Amino acid sequence: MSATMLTFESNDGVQITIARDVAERSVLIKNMLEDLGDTVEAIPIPNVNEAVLRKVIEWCEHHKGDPPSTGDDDDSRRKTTDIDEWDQKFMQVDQEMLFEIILAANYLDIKGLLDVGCKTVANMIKGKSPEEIRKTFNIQNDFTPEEEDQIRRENEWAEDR
Amino acid sequence: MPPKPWLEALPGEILYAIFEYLELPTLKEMSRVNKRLRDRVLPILFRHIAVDFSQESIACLNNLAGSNLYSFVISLEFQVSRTTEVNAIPTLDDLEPDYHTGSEHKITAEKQLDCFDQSSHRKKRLECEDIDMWQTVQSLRSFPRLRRIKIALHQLDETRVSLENIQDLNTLCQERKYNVTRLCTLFAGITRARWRGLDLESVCLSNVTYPAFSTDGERGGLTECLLRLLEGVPFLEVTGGGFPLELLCRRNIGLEKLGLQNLTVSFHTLKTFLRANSGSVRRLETIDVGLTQLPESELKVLSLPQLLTRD
Repeated sequence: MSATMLTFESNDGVQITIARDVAERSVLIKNMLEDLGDTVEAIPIPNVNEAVLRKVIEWCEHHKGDPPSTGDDDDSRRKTTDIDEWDQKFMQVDQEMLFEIILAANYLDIKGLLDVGCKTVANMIKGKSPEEIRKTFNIQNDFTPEEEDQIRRENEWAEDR
Repeated sequence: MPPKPWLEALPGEILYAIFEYLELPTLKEMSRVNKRLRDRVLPILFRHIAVDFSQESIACLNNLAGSNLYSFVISLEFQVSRTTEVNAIPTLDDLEPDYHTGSEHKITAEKQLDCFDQSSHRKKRLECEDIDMWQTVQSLRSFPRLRRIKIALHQLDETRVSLENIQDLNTLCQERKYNVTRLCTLFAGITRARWRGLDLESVCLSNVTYPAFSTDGERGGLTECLLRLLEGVPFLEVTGGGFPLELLCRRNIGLEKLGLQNLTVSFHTLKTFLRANSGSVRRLETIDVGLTQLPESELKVLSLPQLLTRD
């Protein structure tokens, strides 16, 4: 019989115990559990700190009933950036936390959370000029004026199908 | 305290996932932010490109082939404008010497190119500009990911007028609407690129209307060039205008999939036509049909069989 509760340890040494079905939103954990079988020891999550791990678990708790993603919905090229209300609220965090959540979702292989993270960033970029994007994300412009000219010319060729 | 520059620090596959949510104008802005982000945007931004098929744009295409961008291009569109000026009409022999004698295209391609280059006679018949274009278009063979070419003829205002009146359409058929030499050059260049390794999965023809492709007279060369371009292409997409479908049955071109959008041809007409010609399109498995432009009553007036029997 498999355990219903599992304990995880963040990279800053904090142990958190959660229900197995919540943890299995992470494909990484799910596969790991299949390989390991039952484990009573705390599972280390080396890339994620406590604050981020708690945030990720909060998302998994809320979405534990979601149907599992099939993974291949790449058919529609331009995907909608609509985010449901709960997820929008969930993503109202500072940029550093957003960054950490995206990385954690990627590492733990939680597709739904990664999608929400990517959409949130896409929405932050949408409709902004290069200068506004630089300001928003604190990016340095490393193009020379000549390069900028060339880019403008090259970009003319790009079109929607 | 300003945030860390974390966006740039995201792994490439996550940046791709983010960019997939952005529309083209935003992707263009994104590509101007800084070098690292530009590198990440390019494969998405330059998946599909469009160039005017004119002297200047051919220079652009050459520049593109000389930059690092060409390797991202999956789909390329040539926008051919209408012109009133008409150059000498090349014959098939001008563009593809030896065509009628050799069916082993791939083997004779090099030889044919030599013939073409050496023949001063042919150079005289074709404007230098057209030869440049022909050669430039062939350079598409070095675009490693290119799988789809779209040829979009500029829609004619007169076409709309003519659709209301069969007599007008008839008149239209008598006139050349595009620079036929240029079109021949384009078709022949793409054909040549295919013989030399360009692996096209799809050709899209937009507004390639019947008047431009009358099969008799001088324009016969144009039709031939198009047919040879289409030989062995598995997927043909057709959008806009009344594409002469019977061209598809003139030669076994091995079409597996046909996509139709905004045609002035009704579905019923199409079905009847394909049924009658099922022998020549026997490999055809899938047909995607989009909306037709005109209400049914007008479609009747302009049904395909009528267009086909018209000379």
